[in-house]
Amino acid sequence: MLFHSPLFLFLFLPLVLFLYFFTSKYSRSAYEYILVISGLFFYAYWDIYLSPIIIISIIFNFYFAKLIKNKTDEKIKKTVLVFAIIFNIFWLAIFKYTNFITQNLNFLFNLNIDPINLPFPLAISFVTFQTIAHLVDCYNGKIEKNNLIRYSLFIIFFPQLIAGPIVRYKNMMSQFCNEKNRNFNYKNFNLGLIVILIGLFKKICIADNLAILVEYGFENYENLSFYESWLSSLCFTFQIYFDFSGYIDIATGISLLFNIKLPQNFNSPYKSSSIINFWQRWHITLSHFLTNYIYFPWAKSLKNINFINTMIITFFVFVLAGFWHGPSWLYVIFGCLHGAGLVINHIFRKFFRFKIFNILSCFLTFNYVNLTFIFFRSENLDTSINLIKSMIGLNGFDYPDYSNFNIHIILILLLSIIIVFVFKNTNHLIERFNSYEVQ
Amino acid sequence: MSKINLKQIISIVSKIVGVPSEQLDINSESSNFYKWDSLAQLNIIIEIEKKVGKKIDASMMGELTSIKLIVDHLKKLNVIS
Repeated sequence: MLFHSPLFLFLFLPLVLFLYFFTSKYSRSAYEYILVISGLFFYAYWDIYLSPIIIISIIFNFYFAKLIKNKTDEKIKKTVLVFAIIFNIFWLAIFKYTNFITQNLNFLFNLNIDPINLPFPLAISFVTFQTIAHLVDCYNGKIEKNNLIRYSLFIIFFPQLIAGPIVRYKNMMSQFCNEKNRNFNYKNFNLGLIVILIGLFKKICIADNLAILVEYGFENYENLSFYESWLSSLCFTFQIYFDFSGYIDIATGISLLFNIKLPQNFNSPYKSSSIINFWQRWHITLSHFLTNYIYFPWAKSLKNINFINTMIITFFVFVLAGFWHGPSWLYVIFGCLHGAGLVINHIFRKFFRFKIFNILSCFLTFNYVNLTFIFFRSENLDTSINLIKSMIGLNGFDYPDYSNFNIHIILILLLSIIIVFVFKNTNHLIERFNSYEVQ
Repeated sequence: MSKINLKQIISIVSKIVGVPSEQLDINSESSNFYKWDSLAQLNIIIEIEKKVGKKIDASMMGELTSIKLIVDHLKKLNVIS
């Protein structure tokens, strides 16, 4: 069920909202069951046969977490934690990376292993990171109480189930358990509707239209001129932002209808003045996960923490983050480019004292990000290389043939540039709206 | 194990983040200083650890994102003077 489908907007969501507030009047715990059942239905609606995958993951991880919390022996706790993390990575790898691994084994050792073609369960990448964070928090004693229904709710809460943001158990449970949040709140409801509309506008009016030009450009990568290649890459850079942030806006808006505030995931990332700054503004909850659950523990585990070691860790964390996006070497390249960008950025900060003009550093950062997204979008390395060749003028400077795509897409690209660089983001709107008192 | 005070914490943050001490106080947060990134956070915690002779858990590092939060955590460890 897509967020922007009529079935979701006009039937599923109103029905769940009604049940959530109505049953809360008569029962203190009914809301948990309503949200868990609706989450399972939402998930199963994509493909009912994939539901067991997430249900098994929930049950196993709940008992892993329980075991970690109940054990007092530090060694056993750690062993269970390590086993549980391996289980989750293995679970993700089976469904997401099996074909990638077999293809690479075939290539490397000249084998002929047939691809297994397992179905790819929706949301498994986000669920895996959220689950690992929960297990580590249990190990560190940051989560005290837990029961199966609440844990299921944490994983399967449908607004953020498919594409995040990656939430933390403590932040979500403190809101779910707050009885005030089960009373209908006009202010949150109105704000939620506005944020949903903004998200729908971003997704349907901007991202989906830009996608037409992106598809044309990346399919005809061999024949693109200088201008066409820049148009294609820029359109994708804006498409991915409006698509992802639009989706997050819708998720944030829907959660607000239930009086639940999701963490901010985007903070005008294309206004970033450096790659470090970009990752403080783009997919913020992923950056938090990478920093808190991989980078810090890894760095702290070293006997000798120095600048070189931390840079190596930074690079590899981003290679991993790239690979997490999908089973392709192009995602690994995307991760490598961002890892390298971060390392260069840190070196610059540490060893060079002069400051670049803010506009210039924003311009450089944006263009570097634009370059990395070419690898993110391309079907193969040939596409990326050809597109970059065209962008540096190696395939000529002919003006684009606008008969290939509607001129309105160019206008949408201009509109998206204005929105991104001139306007404030949705989170500013939420904060401003929250500062007003409802009469 | 030795103790640390607010002035010394501010001095450590100032040195690592590259901001004059006068611009920092108990309410200073990482989000207000563009150079207070994850690497700076790691270095701040390591410097404090060296000073007090006590390890700060890796799981806490992401949470100690302001001088106040650092002070509060150090109070729990009983290393603040």
